[in-house]
Amino acid sequence: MRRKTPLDFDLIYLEYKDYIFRTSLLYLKDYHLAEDCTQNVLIKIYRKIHTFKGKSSLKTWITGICINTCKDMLKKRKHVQNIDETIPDKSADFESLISVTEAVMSLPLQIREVVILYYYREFTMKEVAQITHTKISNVEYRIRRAKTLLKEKLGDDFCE
Amino acid sequence: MSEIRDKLELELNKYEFQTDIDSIKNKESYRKRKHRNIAILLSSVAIVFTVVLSAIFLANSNQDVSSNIPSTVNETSNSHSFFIVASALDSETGKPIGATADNAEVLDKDMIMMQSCLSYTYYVSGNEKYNGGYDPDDERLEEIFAQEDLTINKVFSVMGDESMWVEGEDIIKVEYKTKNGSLFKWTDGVKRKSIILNKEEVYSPERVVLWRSSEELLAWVEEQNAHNGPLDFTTATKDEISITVTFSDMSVATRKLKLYYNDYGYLVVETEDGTKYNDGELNDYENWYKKVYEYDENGNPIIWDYSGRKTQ
Repeated sequence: MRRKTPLDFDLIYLEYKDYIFRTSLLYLKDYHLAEDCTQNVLIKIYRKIHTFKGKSSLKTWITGICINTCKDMLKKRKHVQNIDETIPDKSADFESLISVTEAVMSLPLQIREVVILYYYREFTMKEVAQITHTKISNVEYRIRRAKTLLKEKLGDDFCE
Repeated sequence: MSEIRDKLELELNKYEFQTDIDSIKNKESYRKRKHRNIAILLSSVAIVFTVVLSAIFLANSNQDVSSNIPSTVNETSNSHSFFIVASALDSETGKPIGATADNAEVLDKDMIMMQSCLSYTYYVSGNEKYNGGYDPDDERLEEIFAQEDLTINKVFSVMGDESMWVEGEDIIKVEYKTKNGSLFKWTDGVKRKSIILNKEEVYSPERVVLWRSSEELLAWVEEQNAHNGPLDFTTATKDEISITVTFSDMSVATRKLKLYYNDYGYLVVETEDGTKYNDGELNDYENWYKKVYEYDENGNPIIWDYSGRKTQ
């Protein structure tokens, strides 16, 4: 679907700022890192908005930018610590963190990634494959693996 | 699994992104300005770099073309060149006044300067009307010289020094020879007819050599004092100095300089092609020192361009 009218950044900002922030939070497991990531994603959108041609949905485009930015930030942060091994931030910002979010955050990065996109953001497997630059078969495997792990953490009730 | 999504929505919806949109836009604007400034800076650096490279290229081209054109005599066929550099020396510090030959710009030019002159005063006695000291430009001197009953002593002082050294490419040896006078190494003060500087000596304080006409000049001064008339510099001591340079490829080049005093006491240096340096006129030494301390529009001393002649 080709967009014929220019996108309005102000509208995108209002509609997607929290979407990006929460996705980043789940992906990065760090409140302040998620803030930085969201800011970077929004700046990238602001900068590149004129290049969006409508070949995918706006949501897919924005989520792709978000996931790639999260990956970049993790790479940078890995120079300081292995973030995938850290437990979720238990600072004041996460005092009320409860089990499902914590369970997702405890998943390995590649599994967590498909959970965020497939379950939380409700992309199709094809779209998840597109955003994560991987094969659909890999996405299918990771979803199956995610179900298994989440059952172990949350019980059968959540994964039926 | 929609229960997971609902639960995640419920749990995460309490987290909101707080940064306002203006902050995002401002950061991007700042980034653009920064990138633009960096681009301008890089462009400026590139332009300056290009200009400097061009200037160096042109300077080298000019140097290749013009180096030692006036009078270098290559005794063997080679493309080397060297420059004879000389300067008046500061009487207190013993160092050359103005620029030194360490300045690479000097090498663009064919520099042969021995900025020395005999300054003198006539002291008159024997007649109360004329007794006293007179500068060379005093208008009463003509009348004084016409008197036969006066005793006129000439008191000399040397302005500047006759130091010289060579600069050039790949020089490993320099030989100075004088025909009549003497040569002194700057550092040891020992008088010789010739001086040879080898390798590292060529580019060290040892490289500076001074020419003194020594006994011949003293004899001339005494002879001048023996009569009451004006000084006759045409009879003053003269000399020729040849400077032979050996380059690292063992090729050799020689330059010959004629040294003599002009009518006003200036030690003129004349090269093979007849170019005269330091050919000053009466009281030019005042201009001379002024010139020494003048600088061109680029802040470079112009001492090297001064021939000793009056400014036109």
